[in-house]
Amino acid sequence: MTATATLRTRTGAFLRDHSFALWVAASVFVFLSVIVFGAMFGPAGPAWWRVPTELVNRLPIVSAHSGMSSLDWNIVWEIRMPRVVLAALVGGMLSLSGASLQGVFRNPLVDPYLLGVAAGAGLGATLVFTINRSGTSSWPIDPLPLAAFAGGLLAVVATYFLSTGGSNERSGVKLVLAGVAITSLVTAVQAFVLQRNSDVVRQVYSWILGRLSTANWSDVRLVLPYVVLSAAVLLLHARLLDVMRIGDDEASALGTNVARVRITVIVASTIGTAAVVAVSGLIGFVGIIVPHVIRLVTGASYRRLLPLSFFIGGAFLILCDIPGRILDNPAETPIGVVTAFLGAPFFLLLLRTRKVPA
Amino acid sequence: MSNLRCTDVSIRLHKRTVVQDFSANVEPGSWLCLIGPNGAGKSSLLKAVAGLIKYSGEVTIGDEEVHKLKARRRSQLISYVPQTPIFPLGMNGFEYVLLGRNPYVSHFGYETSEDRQIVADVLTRLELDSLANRDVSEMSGGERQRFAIARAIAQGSPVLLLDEPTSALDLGNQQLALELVERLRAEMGLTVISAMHDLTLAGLYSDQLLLLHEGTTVVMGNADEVLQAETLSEFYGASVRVHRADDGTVVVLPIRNRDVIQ
Repeated sequence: MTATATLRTRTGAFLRDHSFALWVAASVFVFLSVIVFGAMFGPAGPAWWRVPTELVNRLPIVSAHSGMSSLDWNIVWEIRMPRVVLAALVGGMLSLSGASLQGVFRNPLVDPYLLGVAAGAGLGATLVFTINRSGTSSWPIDPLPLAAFAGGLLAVVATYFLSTGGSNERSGVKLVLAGVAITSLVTAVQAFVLQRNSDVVRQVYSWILGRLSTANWSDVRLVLPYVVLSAAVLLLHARLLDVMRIGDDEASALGTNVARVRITVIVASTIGTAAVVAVSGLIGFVGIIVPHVIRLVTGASYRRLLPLSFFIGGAFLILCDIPGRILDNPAETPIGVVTAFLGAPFFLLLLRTRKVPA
Repeated sequence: MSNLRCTDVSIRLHKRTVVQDFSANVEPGSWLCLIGPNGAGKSSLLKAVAGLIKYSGEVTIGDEEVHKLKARRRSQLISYVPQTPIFPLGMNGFEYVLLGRNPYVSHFGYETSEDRQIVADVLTRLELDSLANRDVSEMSGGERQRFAIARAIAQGSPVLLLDEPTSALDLGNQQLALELVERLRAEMGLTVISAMHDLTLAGLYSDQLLLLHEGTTVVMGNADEVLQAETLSEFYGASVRVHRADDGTVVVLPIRNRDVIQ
């Protein structure tokens, strides 16, 4: 009798999944708090405690007295806030893309740059720098993000067509190998171009290491549509990525069009990644370590992993950006250096101590 | 309930014909066991019926032609358990069986509480409740096989395809798995097609055996008819003795060839 009762509650606990809503609510809370927190620090501007008060004051209906001058407010809103919001979008997008690609390739070591986005964007940026950067400053549109975005997309398109070659290969292994090949090829071309134009090496490397320091609202407006579109498509695939965890054959036998899910997720994550790379450079490790930490804490289900990756990834990158602003002032430590510096040892530790869930 | 009928099914893989003009009619609620040496085409045939590889010819369930069905509809009719299913790290038993409801969930939708209830009932029916919380990747071979079958049952399809359901199991778990299939078949009227290597077990549990060799059907019939020492030695290249017990069980025993060491 009691045994049956325990059995009932045991399965009964699965009938509704409350933990999902709790986790997502908690991660949104962390995300928003870190956005406010990130706006509290900088080399110049108001005392840190005035910032949350003033932000509350700026909300409709509510009023709170922070004693912040309009100059200070401009520093917070026009200099710090775009940088924080951009970091949130970039970190969220890279983590979400990484998690999604890990799902479709069923490989936990995949990062959003797997199929050549980074190399392509790097080549695009390098070409702009070599063509004469100062000459483009008067252009109505900055060609740098445009070239990086186009380069990233082109590299992935090349990877895709080289790997399929017309045949209908489903496993994705060829795609990964083609990505490796395209990455080396494009990187080689970039090295050749740099060799010929050694005067821009420093600029190119500073771009490659990633930066958020020059962010303004127009950067945010530039990437926002791509991030929203890409994130929405990826989040819609969360349940299907759970189905894909049992492999192509079994997922197909359960009625899922595996090839379609794979290509949709690849296209969506590529567009999102290329967009954020175009404005922020190559910020490494976020796309691998954030999803892994979330897996260790909440379990491997993509239904939880994908939304949490976005919010926690965004929060993580905002936090990584803070030491860069404070240390070494007024020079900036590139954000890619901070994430790699924290990310690489952490990742090695993770590999040594844990079973890595796919 | 409706028949599963294969008519002139041929399969080409990597420019090689692996199954040639296969025809069979499986009555609803019966168990057909495909036997034959490695490479005979058993697995390919199951995959073709499950819609995973292309074939020519016709496979019908009732009056529905399988390759014309949408993937979702097909998987509502046919469930498939491969020889070595993948058990992902960090997925618990309940979540694993819940995947079986995929054919009933819209592309971007989520399982309803009804789907979850069905899964809970399947777990109770298979006496797997107590393992529902466990990570499938940490289960024993026997537990995994029962969860793989549970997932197929949650699919609610009238046809169940099993590729080597016992190959990775010890003797007790082999019986447990096959008896589970047998029980579900009786209770739910499932049509079962399995591929098996253990000829004695194949004969014990199935209604009909079908011996495949190089993609063509050699003989089809009950255990008594198919399991003949001469046939098996010819097509398996094996030395066997076939023992017919008083209760009708046909036992296939290997014979040790002592001439190997001279």
